[in-house]
Amino acid sequence: MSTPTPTAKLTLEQISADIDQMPSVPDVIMRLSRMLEDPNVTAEELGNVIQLDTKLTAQLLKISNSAYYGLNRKIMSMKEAVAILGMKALKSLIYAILSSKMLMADLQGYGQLDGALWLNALTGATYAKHLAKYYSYPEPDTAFTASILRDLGKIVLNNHVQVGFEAIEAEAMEKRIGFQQAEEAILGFSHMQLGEHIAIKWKFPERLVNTIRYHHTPSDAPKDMSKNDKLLLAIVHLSDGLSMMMGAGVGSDGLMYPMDITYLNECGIETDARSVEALIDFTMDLESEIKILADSIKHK
Amino acid sequence: MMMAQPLAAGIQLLDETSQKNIAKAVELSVGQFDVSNKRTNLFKVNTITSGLVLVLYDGVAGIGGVAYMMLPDSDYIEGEDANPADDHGKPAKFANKAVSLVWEKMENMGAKPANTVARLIGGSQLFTFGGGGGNPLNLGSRNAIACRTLLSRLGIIVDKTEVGGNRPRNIIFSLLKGDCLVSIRGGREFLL
Repeated sequence: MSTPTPTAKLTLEQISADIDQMPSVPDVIMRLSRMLEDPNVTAEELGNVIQLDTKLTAQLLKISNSAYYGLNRKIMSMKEAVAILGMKALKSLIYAILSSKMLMADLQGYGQLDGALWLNALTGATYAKHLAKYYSYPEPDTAFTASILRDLGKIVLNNHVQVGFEAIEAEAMEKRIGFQQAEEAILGFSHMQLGEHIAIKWKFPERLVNTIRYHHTPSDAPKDMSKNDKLLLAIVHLSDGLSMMMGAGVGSDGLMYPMDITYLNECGIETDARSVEALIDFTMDLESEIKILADSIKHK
Repeated sequence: MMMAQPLAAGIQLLDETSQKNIAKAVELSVGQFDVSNKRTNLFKVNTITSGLVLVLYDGVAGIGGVAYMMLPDSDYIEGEDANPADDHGKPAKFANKAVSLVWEKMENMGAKPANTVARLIGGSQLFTFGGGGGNPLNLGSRNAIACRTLLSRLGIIVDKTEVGGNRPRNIIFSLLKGDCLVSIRGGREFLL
């Protein structure tokens, strides 16, 4: 990691060096990430590639057989798992496993310790999956994935935020701007921009790069996105906001983030008081699902 | 499910007996409520954001109650009361139910409205720039208004509030003297 200083802004070279020091993504994940975007890939082909990574295979089988899916038969092979759970569900699990190791990190800078970032990620992801169904987004598993990955950039920016926290907070409160915008003003980069660099480096599909890059500021996203990609971004933005409102794994940056009501409304998501309260009511009932999922992905 | 936050230095603001008993503090999660008439008991709630915690204390009888609510009114949510028995283990989710639930239990133990004070903590919110015409995300103030109305009908005064802002809060409530320690994440700690 580059040495954080309270005054100097980060350069692109510094953050690239920081990102290079992150644990590398196994080749198999990179291959899978590309395969999962390819509509012509068969279940058998997918199962064959997953099997190359024994640890990933073991984890996927463990989750497939956990209470999360509540299947009444035991899944013994990757091929069976692909066939029964479906490629899209499997994809979201692969991303969840990949990100869990990194998101379990203690983030002193953001005041997210003891798995708080991971709890926040899982909570948002579970909300996003259900919101996708509610708002007729065709790929709920993609919404899960996009939401779980949204704060990847925090892992790299954490050290710098730790040093600059007071200045960032003061900037946000004085100028009435979001914490992410204050990060950019003080440190030179926001955790959204860092996340974007990580996502590009790891060759994530473009729509995931966009949801990571714009999850706090959806109105800044490219205007030429498809209607579905816009809705996906709205769902990730909303899932993030709801998980903060519920207090799930929230850090010292607290709720110092903007909610883009206009963007949500443009995507058909109503935000009057009654609708917001109904959403909160709905998300509260997902707590047990989140707990079951967290337990099934637990390492060791 | 909620992850523990490190105990803050602010525990020194509590009396020595409460400090000793702090490890035994009963933790409440959102939608839960509890009461006690044992002065050595403590309650705690961590990472309160948009939800609202009501702390009730009858200092004469030494009876305390805590309810952690998230929404003001179950009647406002369509279909919510279709199956009232199924509260998903969160009986105190709505202020309109939580206040009477916690007060009935306290009253059964011997608490009197005239000796009881109420404190409200929570209700932090996201930024909504511009917008105008009221903030639909400002659940905290809607919850607080609902609570105040219900408590005034019971003849209970809201003594102090720590509501609003953008930070998560933790609280520890000790029944010994009725102290309520508030820790604002990354910020100050004080007895409310």
